[in-house]
Amino acid sequence: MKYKLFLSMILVFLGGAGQVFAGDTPPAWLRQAASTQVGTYDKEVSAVVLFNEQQVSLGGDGMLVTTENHAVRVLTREGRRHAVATALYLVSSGRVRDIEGWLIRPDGSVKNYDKKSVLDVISDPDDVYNEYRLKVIDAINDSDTGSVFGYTVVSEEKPLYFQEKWFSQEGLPTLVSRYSLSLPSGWKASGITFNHSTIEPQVAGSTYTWELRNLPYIKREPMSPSVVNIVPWVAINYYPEASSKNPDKSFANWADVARWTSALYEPQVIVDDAVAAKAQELTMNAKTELEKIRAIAGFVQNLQYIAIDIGVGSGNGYRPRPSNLVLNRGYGDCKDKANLMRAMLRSLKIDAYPIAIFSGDPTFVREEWASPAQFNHCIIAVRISDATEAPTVIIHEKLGRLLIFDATDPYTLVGDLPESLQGSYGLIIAGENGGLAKMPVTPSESNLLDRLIEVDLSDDGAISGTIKERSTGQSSSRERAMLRLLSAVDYSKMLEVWLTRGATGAKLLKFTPTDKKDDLRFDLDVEFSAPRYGQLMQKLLVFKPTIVDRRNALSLTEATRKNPVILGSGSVRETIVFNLPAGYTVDETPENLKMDMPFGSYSTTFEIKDNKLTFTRLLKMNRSTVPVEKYDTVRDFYAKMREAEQSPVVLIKK
Amino acid sequence: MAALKSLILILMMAVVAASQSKDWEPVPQNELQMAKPQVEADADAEVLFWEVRIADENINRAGWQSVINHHVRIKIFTERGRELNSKIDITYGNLASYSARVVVKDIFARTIKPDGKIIELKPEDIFERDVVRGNGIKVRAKSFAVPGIETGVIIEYKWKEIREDIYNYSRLELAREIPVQYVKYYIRPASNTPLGMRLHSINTTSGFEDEGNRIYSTTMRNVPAVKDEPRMPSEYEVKPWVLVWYDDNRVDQSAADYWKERGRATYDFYKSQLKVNGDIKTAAAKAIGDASEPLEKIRRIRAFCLASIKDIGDDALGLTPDQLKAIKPNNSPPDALKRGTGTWHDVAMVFGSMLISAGFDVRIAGTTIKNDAAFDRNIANDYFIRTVVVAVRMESGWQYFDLSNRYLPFGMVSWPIEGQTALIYDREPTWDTIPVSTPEQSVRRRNANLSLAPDGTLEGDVEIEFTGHLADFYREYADDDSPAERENYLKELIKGQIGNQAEITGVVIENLFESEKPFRYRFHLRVPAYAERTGKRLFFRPEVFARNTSALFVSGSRRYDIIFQYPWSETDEVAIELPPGFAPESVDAPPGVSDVKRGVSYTAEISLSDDRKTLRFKRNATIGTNGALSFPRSSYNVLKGLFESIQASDSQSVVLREN
Repeated sequence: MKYKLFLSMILVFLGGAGQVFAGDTPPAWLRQAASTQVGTYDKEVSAVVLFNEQQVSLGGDGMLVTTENHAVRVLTREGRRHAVATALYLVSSGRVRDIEGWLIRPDGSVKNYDKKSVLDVISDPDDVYNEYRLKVIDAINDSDTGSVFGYTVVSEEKPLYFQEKWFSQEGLPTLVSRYSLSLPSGWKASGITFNHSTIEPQVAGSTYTWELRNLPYIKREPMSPSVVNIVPWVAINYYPEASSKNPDKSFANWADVARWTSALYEPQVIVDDAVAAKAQELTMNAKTELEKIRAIAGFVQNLQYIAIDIGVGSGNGYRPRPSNLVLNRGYGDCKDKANLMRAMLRSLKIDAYPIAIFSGDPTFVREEWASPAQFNHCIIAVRISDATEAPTVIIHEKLGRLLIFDATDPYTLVGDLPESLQGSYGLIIAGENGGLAKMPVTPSESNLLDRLIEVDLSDDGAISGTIKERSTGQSSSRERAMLRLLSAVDYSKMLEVWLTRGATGAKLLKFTPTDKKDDLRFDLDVEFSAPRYGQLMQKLLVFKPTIVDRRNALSLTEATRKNPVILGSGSVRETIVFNLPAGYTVDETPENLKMDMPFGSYSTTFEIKDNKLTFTRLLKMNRSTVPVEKYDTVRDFYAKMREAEQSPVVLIKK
Repeated sequence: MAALKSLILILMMAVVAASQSKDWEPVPQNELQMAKPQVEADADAEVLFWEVRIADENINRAGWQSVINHHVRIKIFTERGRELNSKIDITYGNLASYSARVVVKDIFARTIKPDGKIIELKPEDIFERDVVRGNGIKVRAKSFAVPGIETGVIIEYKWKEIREDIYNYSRLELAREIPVQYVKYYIRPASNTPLGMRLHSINTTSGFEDEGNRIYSTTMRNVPAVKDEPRMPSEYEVKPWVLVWYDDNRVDQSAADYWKERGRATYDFYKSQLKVNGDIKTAAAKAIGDASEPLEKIRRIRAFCLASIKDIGDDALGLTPDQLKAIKPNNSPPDALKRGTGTWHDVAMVFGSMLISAGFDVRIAGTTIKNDAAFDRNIANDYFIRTVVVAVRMESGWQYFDLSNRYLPFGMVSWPIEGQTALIYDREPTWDTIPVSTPEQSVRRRNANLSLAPDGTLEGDVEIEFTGHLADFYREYADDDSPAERENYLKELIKGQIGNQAEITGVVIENLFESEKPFRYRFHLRVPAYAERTGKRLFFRPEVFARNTSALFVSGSRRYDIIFQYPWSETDEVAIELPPGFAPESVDAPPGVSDVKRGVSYTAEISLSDDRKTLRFKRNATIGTNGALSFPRSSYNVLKGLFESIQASDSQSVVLREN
């Protein structure tokens, strides 16, 4: 996503700089694809993929050569953005042999984009150095509704291991999608299908072809699974028939993957004097095992995140830099941080193991396919004694009690885990003892925002009072991130916006954020006033009982849905005490609400005592995937919550 | 001889360049121990020292060149400061931002811990990257991670930059995104040129000092960070900077004489551009038709020009790069008229020529724009004169016509030039100010006929239209979108105002390209649970469109003045049929808001039909009356209060009670 944004910036910057030669004839496959009649699509569908083919061939020299042929028809003006060819390649182990594109306009005229039209750009501008680069042909400005853009990319790479992935589509409707793998004689291939019934390859000699046709448009819906969990894809293993198990390049199971990865990680754990001294210095005052782990974790977590990707083709994408070098430089990426933490813990006689994992979607890693290609992140498992307890401990049958921790996320403390990793499969890199394991899921109660608001309501509708928030778990991580990512001025502005969204003209009088790391908690105390909170209506004084974080918009509004609803875990407990103005009595309050569903519960209560109105709301959400058939239940749940939070309290003058 | 001279100059520059070395001056102890920022209390990091040494040269054959030595020292106070300063990218190559080819060399960096321990950047930790290459473009970057960076440290780095083929004008920035304790620029003008270097300091009283050896310097201390605030003036109007350029070495010429000469020369140029021939005369006569009033004649000529000549810079035309390349430039107004295509400037020239042929007294006027630093007429340079309008002498004085904007109705000019200074090019040039439009020329009008159901659902038909600058904004946004995108934009707009549960169907968009008519949306609206229920009562806001809007000004503090782009007004009329079985319990008109001095007024009325079954809500607001568009920072709280009062009035609810 990040690179896509960067790419679009580059394209805007260059503004169709490509040199174009008119009149060249497109290849037969493109002419045939362009002549395909397309059906009628919903108006939000901006383009249709006519043809998407990858022909992959493993040569006797060990090089994997891929020819990609792709054709897209632009259906609307917005669809022009799909008239782009991109080819990702790795400088150290691959190259793009050829890339060429053609634009067939609605009037039949053709533009050819040859190598002079190609731009070569960095893939990730945020990295200090990254060997991945992109070759790009941009036909956006040349294309229009009705145009067909096609391209051919021929690339080669030396595979690090004998595995491939074929994603049949990216979201656009796709008429023909095909992947073929040609192997030297004596080689075989097999595939595992995801998000679709098994796709059997057609086999001709040692060429395997998987194909799907007429794939529908993937509509983007809020709270939806990621696209990779919707589109059909095939995980492919290939191997020489004589030896189905090649420890260097083939993986029969997760233990194989763990062994392969361990060989890359293990030599990088270097405990020299500097590493040991730093570990000693950090844990000087630590009395318990947990305190030692926290001290080391805090240091590593706060090292600057810097990624330098060199030698990826020879495995460095899976290999951390030596721990002593990372300490010396004072920066590193996720692997580097986990590895340094491991080295420092080792110097304290505490064992730890890196965990390869996917960051961003806890359902991404599939147990059925043993492959290092499923991961993009590295965290750590620390072997702990029975004396250490935390919500993020798993019991491993060979390694015992393991405390799982992400040394890269600077906001999630030891004892908690980023929500995007909870429940995901991760590969514990522990040689023979390693393998795939399920990461812990913290209970929604440990991810709590507890808020107490006390306000005085005046007879002119003004309120003044305090807000006290106590956050734990991932709630506290979000608060911590906010405090750190925003400048002091912007943090204050953020609180002002938060207050004024619920109370017009609210003034932030004082605020005190306190990061209580030792208690895994974040506190925020706020003093505020709002001159026009309640509305005077003759004898009535009307106000909304929910002051902040009042739900006034819904994300699930569509009547129907195509994909399941993904819900995260967490809870909110709020108590609001209104000291009512003298001379007024409560005439009406909204009805108490209680909803209890498998994916979550919500309740509100009103209590009137001693001229005080106490309103409470409790929300508890369980990590769930709600199937499409039960979409109505989630949509109604949120709609009722919104109604409950919008309904006002009515006071009447005595 | 010339070659020898060039060699000597290159050697001289090499001497200047050599001043960028790995040698570091000791960091003062007080900077090492500094625990809090000095310039701004909340700063995440602060520049302690920032020095730039610039040596310009005009080298025979090699052309213009700037050698720039940068040196910066930054103290890190917070984790955020560490994060933001942890990676340094220095771009070079063919950089459009400088209109120059840039070479970067001699990068040195180090981190100094509070105890004085120094970590040097190793040369092998500097990475060279081709950011973009191909098709004659090569943008590169030298990147490095600052070693050992953490809170409390000082980071220090320097590098040398050589800019070749530089553009004449350059801007020396004296402020950064973090506060600066000390900044100093040294600049040595080019010697091998008959031109003289000119320096214009903006938003700073720090002048230039003669350091000897033809080197001049300017220094500033305690420069606050540049911030973003809503409705703030242009960044270049509020931060300190210096404009540097080379000009004829006529130091004896006064600014008044400069403008006179410039105005005359430009007049002569445009006189030759405004060509009248038979075709122009015929076209003008045809366009004017039976019109007799001068203003009507001008209106018809403008309409003719806009309809007959396509502006090739208009994105709505959807011209591809090849198509643009194939369009031949026009040599004269008759050319543009004949071809029917041209730049907006060509259209303006045809317009001017036709007016002349119809007997009007026409001039071209150069104007400044709002998006840059404030214009100073005492500076003898036309850098800040950025665009032109056609000036026509009328009985009441000069009237200005802006042919660069097709989406404004006749008589209006683009908002960036409203209220700006204009130099009317003439034998005797004169200064004038482009008039500011009135709130009545830019109107947002919203009408709705709705009914409220007992369950709180609101449903009915809505019409929203815009005129003037508001219509220009929406037209420009929509003109190159597909119908589906235009509809989506409206849906998001309305959902943003009313809430995500709003359902918008039957969308009709009218007058998208007809600038003399209001730009209009019509649609059917349904909002489930619009009214809130408590017990026997229903509550709802009659100002339907402001249900979900946020305050214009939120922050309790303000650094910069407040600027509105143009005046506008808003008129809403909403009729809501009340649900059966409910009767109004409280129907009070929201209080009005008025501040004549600040040009803000707001009124609202609520009434019930005679049968008490329909509620009518009317709302009028105007902003910028009498050209009140710019306010000093000291007015912020008053202005904020005015808009909060409007928001509170818009938020006022009506109560219905079940019978």
